[in-house]
Amino acid sequence: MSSYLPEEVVVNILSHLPPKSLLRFRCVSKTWLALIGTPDFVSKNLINNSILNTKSQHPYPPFLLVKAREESNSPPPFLGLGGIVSSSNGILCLHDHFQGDVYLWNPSSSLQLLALSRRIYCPRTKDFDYVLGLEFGFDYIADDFKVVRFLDTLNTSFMADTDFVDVELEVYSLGPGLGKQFDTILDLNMLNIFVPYERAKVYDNGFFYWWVGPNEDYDERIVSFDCRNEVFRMTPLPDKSVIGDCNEVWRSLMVLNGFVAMAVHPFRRKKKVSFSIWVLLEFGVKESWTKLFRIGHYFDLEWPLCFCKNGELLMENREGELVLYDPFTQTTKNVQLNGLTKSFLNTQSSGVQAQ
Amino acid sequence: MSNTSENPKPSSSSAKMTLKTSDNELFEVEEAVAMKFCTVKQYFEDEKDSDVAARGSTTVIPLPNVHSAVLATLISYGKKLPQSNAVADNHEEEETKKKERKKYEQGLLKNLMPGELLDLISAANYLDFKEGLEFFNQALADHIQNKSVEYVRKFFGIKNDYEPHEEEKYREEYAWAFEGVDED
Repeated sequence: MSSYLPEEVVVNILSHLPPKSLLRFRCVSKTWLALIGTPDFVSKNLINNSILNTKSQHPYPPFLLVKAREESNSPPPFLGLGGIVSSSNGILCLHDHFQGDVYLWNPSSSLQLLALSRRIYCPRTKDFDYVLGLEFGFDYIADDFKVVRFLDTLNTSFMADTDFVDVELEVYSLGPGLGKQFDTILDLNMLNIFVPYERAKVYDNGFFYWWVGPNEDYDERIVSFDCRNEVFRMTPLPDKSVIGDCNEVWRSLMVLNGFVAMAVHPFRRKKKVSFSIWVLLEFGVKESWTKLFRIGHYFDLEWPLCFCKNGELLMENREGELVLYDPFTQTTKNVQLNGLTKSFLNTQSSGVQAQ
Repeated sequence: MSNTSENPKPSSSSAKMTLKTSDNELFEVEEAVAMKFCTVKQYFEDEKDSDVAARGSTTVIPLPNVHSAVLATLISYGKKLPQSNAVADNHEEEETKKKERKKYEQGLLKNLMPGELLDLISAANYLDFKEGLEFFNQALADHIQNKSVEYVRKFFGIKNDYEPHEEEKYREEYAWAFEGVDED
């Protein structure tokens, strides 16, 4: 029997392959090169669809927009102090800076917070612990919420002439019921990891990712923490000759269908800026950084927030409004919101608007 | 390899059809299963419209492009699919059936040679058997996912029309995509 297969069948077979395989198979023949296409989010070809679709084990959670106002009994008082950590799967994570406690709040149950929140007990292990950062997210495989807390245990961030920060990382799971479980305390000394700025970290399904700036020993890199297996991994970024210097150009992290994605955009905000969107097709492999597309400066956009299912990028413009950018048509559309907008946090397909 | 289906269970819709393969074997198949092969369905509906159906005897539908071994597998797979005329199961029954199907599918794939996959896909495409095509396409994709370019060319019978220097350049530029590939 002949092994000849009609083209539409070949296309169907190829449509099940991940991006790495497709990129390799572009080399099979020029016909396959044309069939597979270029990873550029210009047309819905095989490779672009593969980046958008094949990896995701779970559907994109619906977008949740929470408008919170400080009123008598509803959200906890520290909400207005910017104590929002993140949100995931419809739950907001809030942090009380003073007591150090973390609250999970389900805003769709609009009654008093304390009755509905789960309090995760995060004790201070030493007197001088300083919370450098908190991460939060829902793990679909473990079917549980995770909180990761970075502690500066020597409080070295207040010490002047040092770049070295002694950081401890703690992972908490909500667990079944009103759990308060301390999963692990890892000493990050050896890794010399900084906790970066707000936009340079992201969570996806049991993995935390954050950008770490360059130091004596390492170039700038993305660090991933697998909180199920408690494993750290790192990937260097593309060279600064390609993406610019981190002292002049932001790296904003997002997730695209389980791949780490990064928007590169310059600091200067007096004029409109353009964005380059990159995706890391294989974690740990620097060469697998692939530039997907560029958003021109004429759109007057400021911050990238997160990707939606069909490759559209949710962003914040310079007026503080939400905008959806479609790279396939290179057009934007405004997402209508009532009321004032102050700030948006980049979370796993949820937006939080603080008033 | 059997060349007829098992004795049918008595049911209200046990209308049968006979399919004849390229090697002249006859397969008696329940209508519900045969209708999943849209090519057969089309043939049957054309027949119904004509006066031939009035004769009342079972028509033999020729499938000159399909070998008996291949058809047997496709029929077997078709039988395991949820039947459109079946009574709705409760959740438990549905879960059990799902598990059974998964087990069957794994067993089926384990015993298949890659070359047979190509034949199955070809036949499923000819028969316009959508679920079968989707299933075997996925299986083939899983099989080639980690294979080398040379393997894929050989497997699909594709001629390399790149110049050596063009191919060399591509392999250098995307070296990371060529790593961790199965040995041929």
